[in-house]
Amino acid sequence: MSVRGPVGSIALLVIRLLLAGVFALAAWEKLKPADPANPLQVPPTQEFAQAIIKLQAIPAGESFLAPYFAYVVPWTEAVLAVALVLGLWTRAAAFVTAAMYAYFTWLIVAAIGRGTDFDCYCLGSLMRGWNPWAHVAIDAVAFVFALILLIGGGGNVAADRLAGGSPRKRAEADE
Amino acid sequence: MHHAGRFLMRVLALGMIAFGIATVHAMLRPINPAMLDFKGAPLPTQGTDTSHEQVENPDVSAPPVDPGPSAAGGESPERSATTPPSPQPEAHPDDIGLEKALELFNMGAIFVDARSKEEYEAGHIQGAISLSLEAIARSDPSIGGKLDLLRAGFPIVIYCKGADCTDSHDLKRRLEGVGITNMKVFTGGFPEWQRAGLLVETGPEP
Repeated sequence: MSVRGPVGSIALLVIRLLLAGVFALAAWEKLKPADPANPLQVPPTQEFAQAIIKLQAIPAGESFLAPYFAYVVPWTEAVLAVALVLGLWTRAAAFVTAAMYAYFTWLIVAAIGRGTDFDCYCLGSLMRGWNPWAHVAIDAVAFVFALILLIGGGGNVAADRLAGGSPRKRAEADE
Repeated sequence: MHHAGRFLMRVLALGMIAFGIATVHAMLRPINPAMLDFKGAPLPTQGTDTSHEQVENPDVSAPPVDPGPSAAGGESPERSATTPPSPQPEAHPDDIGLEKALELFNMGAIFVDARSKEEYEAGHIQGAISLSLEAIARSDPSIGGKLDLLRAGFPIVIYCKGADCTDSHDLKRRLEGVGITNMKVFTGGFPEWQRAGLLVETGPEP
């Protein structure tokens, strides 16, 4: 199945760019260096590691892995941002995106259910202090966008299309 | 089947690329586990059950005095030592309850409000200074002056929204990282202080 026509292609391109932009911003906010002029600022990766522990994103017994996953998540976001901007392996990237957002949403809803006072650090410090349900809403919208890409592919303006070659291969790529 | 296999390979390839880069990055700039609080569960409030007698008739008639040399932690020289904090992620040995917080308040300790600026302005412990994680994240220009005050060596009590709020402990770790010692965390926070009818004030910092 694919979304045909110029309108469909533009819609897919806009969705790709939106998701890629959110991912790029999220990755940068987590990976950027701390302000050297502010001695109380800790590296964002450290703050994100703390958020991973607080959100219980990994099982309690494996909490020692939080510092590692504080790097894995933003780099996954960065890789997905590149893939989505280029329209390269769009469906695979959309699948990983949907899986990530489904997991993020579940984690935040579970934390709300536990009554935990938390900051998910989803977009670094940009959304600190926001209502947790705002995170849930954003993640839900992103999940739906990812599903659209998973079904519709990257559209005509995508590296997938260029790499498709002949019309037969393009048809295969749409499968 | 062929398409499914190719799709799966691409998903795995994306994951492998991300894990590979992340592994290298984590090796180059590792996060010190001692700087993390592995206690994800809500924090217990300490001392509230034993402090009723004092709360009912708290000696709060006197406003907090200006911290003087007698309150500068000289009575506990071991606290003012500049040794780094021992990494005890499962325990918070410097947590205090309402009774001890009130005692330090009357001694003229510096109270630090770790909640947001809006929450501080809506009501805070009298004389407390605001030092939220949001302000730190945006490198608020007032931080330097507050650090100078906290470095003066007076006893410091940090509080936030109560037992399930971990910002106090987060802030304490950061302050320890810049060499500030002699800090306690009032786990009951502003809600418990307010419930006890102790001195509060509203509005922005002077």
